[in-house]
Amino acid sequence: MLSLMAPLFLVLLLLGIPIFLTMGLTAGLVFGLESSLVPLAQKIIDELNSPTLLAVPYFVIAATFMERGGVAKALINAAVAWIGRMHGGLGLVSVLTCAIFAAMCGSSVATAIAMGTIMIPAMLRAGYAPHFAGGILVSAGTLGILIPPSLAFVVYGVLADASIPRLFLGGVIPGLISAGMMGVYVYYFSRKNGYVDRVALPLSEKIQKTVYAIPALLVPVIVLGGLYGGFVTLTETAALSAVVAIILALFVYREVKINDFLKMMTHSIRNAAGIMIIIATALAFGHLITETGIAQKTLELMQRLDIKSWQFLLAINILLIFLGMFLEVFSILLIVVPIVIPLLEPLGIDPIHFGVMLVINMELALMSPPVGLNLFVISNISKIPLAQVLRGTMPFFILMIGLLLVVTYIPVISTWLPDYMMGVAK
Amino acid sequence: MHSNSPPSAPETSGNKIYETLRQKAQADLDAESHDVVESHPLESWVVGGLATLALLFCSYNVVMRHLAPDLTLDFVEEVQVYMVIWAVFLSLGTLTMMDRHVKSDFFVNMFSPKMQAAVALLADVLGLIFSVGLVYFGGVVSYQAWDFGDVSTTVLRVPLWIYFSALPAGALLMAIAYLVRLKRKLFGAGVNHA
Repeated sequence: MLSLMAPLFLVLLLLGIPIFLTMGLTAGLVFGLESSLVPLAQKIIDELNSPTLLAVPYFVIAATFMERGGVAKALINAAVAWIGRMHGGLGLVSVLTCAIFAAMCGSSVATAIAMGTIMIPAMLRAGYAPHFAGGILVSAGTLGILIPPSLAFVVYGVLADASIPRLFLGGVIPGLISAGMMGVYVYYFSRKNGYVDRVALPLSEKIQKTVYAIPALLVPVIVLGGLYGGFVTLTETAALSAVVAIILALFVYREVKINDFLKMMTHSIRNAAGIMIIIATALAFGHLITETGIAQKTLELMQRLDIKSWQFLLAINILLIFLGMFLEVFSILLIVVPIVIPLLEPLGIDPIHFGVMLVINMELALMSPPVGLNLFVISNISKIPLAQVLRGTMPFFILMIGLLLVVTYIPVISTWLPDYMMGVAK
Repeated sequence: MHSNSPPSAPETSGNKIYETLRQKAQADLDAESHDVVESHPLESWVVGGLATLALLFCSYNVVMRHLAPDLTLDFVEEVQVYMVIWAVFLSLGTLTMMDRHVKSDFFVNMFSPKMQAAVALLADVLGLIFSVGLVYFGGVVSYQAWDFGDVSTTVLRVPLWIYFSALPAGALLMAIAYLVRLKRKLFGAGVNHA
């Protein structure tokens, strides 16, 4: 069965056949040869019958409305008012506001677009080198999936059957370290190049801009506070994010017209459908993987070769960075997770730790050519040539590799906060 | 009265640039696919409406649980799954039509244009086969659920065929979209939708 599955899967994947078809056809062929295709259809629809999975479309709705709803502008104005005068003030504002936006929205692309559309022109006007301005936004935008809430953690949690609230907490410290590192680099580069933004505002204006941003700043408090305060479930957290994002976009910052509301909801569900259909086929595919015993065979092989968990993690990281160059984030998650998850427990690897490591890898995938989505998005919205954006992203990419190594080999960075807040997992 | 500008609009030139860029970004995102299909108002009403209703139900329960626990609705968790999954499946047709399915086209982009067109054709044929399979086998699953009178295990005891039939319905829309795409590719002279 394996000899049939693997080549078919790889050929379809490399030919650029949509991922859901690649997985669905491979699973379909094996199911069909074994018994009938009715169990496959049943599996697909059964797997989707899960309240947890609803978090995906709800978070996508939230991201759509946050991205276009004026939240970004309010946050940026407040941040500029306070830290705009420092060396590299606008660059630092970009990192800070991306981190805050990431705490409201679970998508990296939405974070990069929402912030990039405002911050890149502002930085270019202030005389920043285009490659630097582009690089900051590509990289800080990726914080969207590391700092909770995060769509990537939801998808990983569903596939790996790991606690999503724990995963969210696992991303907090690495997310803050990551934002901190980016901030330090931005400050260093700006100081070296003499980027000083002379944005000095009177205190009254600072306060006015902060007050204007308060509704936006309350989002993470309401949403994450609700989840960890035990008031709402994960799905309700996602629904709350969506509702708050809609209210901000329609009634507070009023950047979305009421007439466009249904159109944007449809747009969000359509984007979510692209992910949901892959999740459904990936879960059926994962079921097949378990049945083929690939995991067991891989494990036996690893034991024969005496491969330690640190070597396994290193190999997985290298593989993920390689895949990240060619595949899009959710494709990597959905292909790799069903195969790798059964190996974690025998190797003594915490699924939360692994999930955080995986998501940092996904951030790298968003930043790495030739198919790093954030590179394209930033180049597209700013019209800075891709090569320049890439050049500006490289220092941040190297910093993120450093973070990846630290998080991989010091698991406590990702497991301490979930264990502290929710008790040690059994 | 509704206004497009935020209450305290800062520097106007900055706003103008921001607005132009934002519109450009939105246009780029909307035009990510090769052939853009405007959402039909019916799709907006049904898909957007189902998602909105699901969100409203969910929010109602969250609020009521804290204000008036007696007024919470037991069936919300179950019903919102049905509504959202139906909305998701009903979007699959447009998603397919717009060629927005996630794929890894890095290697294919290095092929000659002729090969690329051939691969795109193959993708649509495979998509059509898979969709037709899902219509049939999803139909069997739904029919069996109806025939056996399967209901959900919750208080509401919803007949499961109502939920299951989202799969053949969505797959049917996807099959139609693949057929239209194939027809355009094979017979739509001069129109390149690949």
